[in-house]
Amino acid sequence: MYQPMLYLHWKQIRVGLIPFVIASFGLPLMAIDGVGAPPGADGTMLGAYHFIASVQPWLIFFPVLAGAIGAMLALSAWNWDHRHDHVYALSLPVTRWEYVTLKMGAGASLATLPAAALWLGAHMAAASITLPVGLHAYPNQLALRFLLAILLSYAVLFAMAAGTIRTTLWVVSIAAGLVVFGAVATDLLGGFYDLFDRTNVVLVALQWLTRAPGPFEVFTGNWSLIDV
Amino acid sequence: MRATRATGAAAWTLLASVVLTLLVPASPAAAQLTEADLLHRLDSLQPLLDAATRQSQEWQEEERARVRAQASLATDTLRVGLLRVIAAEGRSEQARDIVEAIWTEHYAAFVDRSPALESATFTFGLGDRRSFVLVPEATQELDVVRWLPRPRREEHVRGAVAAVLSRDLANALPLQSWVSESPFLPYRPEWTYRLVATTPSQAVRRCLSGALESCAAALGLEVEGDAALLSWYSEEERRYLVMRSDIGSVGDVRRRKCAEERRIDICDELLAADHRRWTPLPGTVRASLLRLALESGGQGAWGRLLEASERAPEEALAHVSGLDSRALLFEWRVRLVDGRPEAYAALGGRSLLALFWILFFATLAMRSTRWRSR
Repeated sequence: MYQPMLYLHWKQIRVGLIPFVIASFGLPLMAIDGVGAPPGADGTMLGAYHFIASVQPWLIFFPVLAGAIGAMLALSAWNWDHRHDHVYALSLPVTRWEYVTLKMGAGASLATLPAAALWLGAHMAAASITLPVGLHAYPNQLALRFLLAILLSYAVLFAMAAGTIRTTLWVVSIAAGLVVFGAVATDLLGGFYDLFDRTNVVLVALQWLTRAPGPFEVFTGNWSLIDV
Repeated sequence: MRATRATGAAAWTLLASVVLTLLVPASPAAAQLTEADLLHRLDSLQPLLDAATRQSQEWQEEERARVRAQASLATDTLRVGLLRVIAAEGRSEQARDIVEAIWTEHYAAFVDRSPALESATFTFGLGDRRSFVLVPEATQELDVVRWLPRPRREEHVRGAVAAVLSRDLANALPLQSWVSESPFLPYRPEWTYRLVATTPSQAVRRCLSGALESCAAALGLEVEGDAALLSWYSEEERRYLVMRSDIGSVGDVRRRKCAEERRIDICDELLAADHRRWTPLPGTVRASLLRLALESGGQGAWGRLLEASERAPEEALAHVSGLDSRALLFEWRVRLVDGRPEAYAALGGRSLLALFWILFFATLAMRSTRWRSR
């Protein structure tokens, strides 16, 4: 049953996945493009500080790309089901959780393609330059973090897409409401309760979500291909 | 109110007439007055000037008292360590809580006396209403933005106290020009290590390898004159410094000779004009050494720093810390190396955490709202 699910998902997404695979391969190479010792300089230590500084602006693109790939995989996983009102799923002789597990596994398998492309690109990028003394390349670690970020983004949106549009709207509205109105509510409540005066609830919530043990820590960690 | 304004106007009129009298061109007859006569005339005007100044100050005091009475601003004065804080009514508990936490954690251990702190006053929760309170020497408002989370507000308090403390060193030229940053700002071990590890300097590389005399050189200690540049940077690094910097104008022939013709003597000539500017490690890193010296010195360290502020930095550091320079540099280097970031620290554990959340959301997908076929 797994192979047909994988084939169906692949058929759905194969054209759309190509640019993401190319982007995953090219991003590490673009990040180190033009970085290195100045012309005529022999010392490899000379540009270390500027090496790191030059690579920094590219770091944000790694988690953004991972999130986009995960989102595309998740939405495409349920696209045909929603279009045909889950007739296919409901007609199969499998339980819901088995069906969902197989579908999730198929999407996770496809997620390894852009991750492998990034792994290859990172190794090529690291091999194409002479690193200044004191700096090291971390292509394997970067690729692993990239894969986990894709899978997490995929899992979150997969769960939302597995339900109805109403469920998705509820989740998104609660999140948006927390961000938009949480600050105002905190300020109002701060006048009555000391806890809200001392604590910014929205900031605390965002910090919990984006740092360990929160779910999105993998996006906010270190994405450096080259570091000390 | 009209009476006080009239008094004020009269005082300003009197003052203006005194000034105009002095500015009116002298008549031919007056030009013949002797210097003694002119001095006598000026002396006779002095009491008028004093009276006008007193009138003006009285008017300002009355106006301030009137505004204060109307604003009915009640305050509490707190004493936390060496800090004097005027808090708005109802905010004194909060002020004491935050200020005591900062003072105890960051300053109490080694700041026993400080002329700058003793003459300064901080306010808490007064904002723009500070002008209504008679605080002529008021320094800073500590609670600038109330809705910020507590850690950010503590950071602001810490910075405000550090800024005032730095005034103690305002006249200590050797030390002030060496450190140039406050030692009380938060120490960021990973950021500091990255900065040090990526500095293009042979002295820094030797320091990281364990040569303490190179650490001293890289920090701008114990090295003077042209020898400093040679110990800090190799030939290629000196050339790179000139290429990277703004030394000389764009068309400067010497700059071209240094960069393209590799005339290292020309490069050295350009750099030697202000060799202190090229100290490998910046003020923030040097401040971390001063911070370590203060911590090592313990109680009374800041007072000893003020005593030694006229000395050379290396002598001052030894006097503050109670350690000889090698021991202090050793401790500093150990702390620096310990701060080396692990680029992907705890990736294994974080990977398991990510897997947990992936399975969590997958489980939610299995238990989502029931599908229906129309």
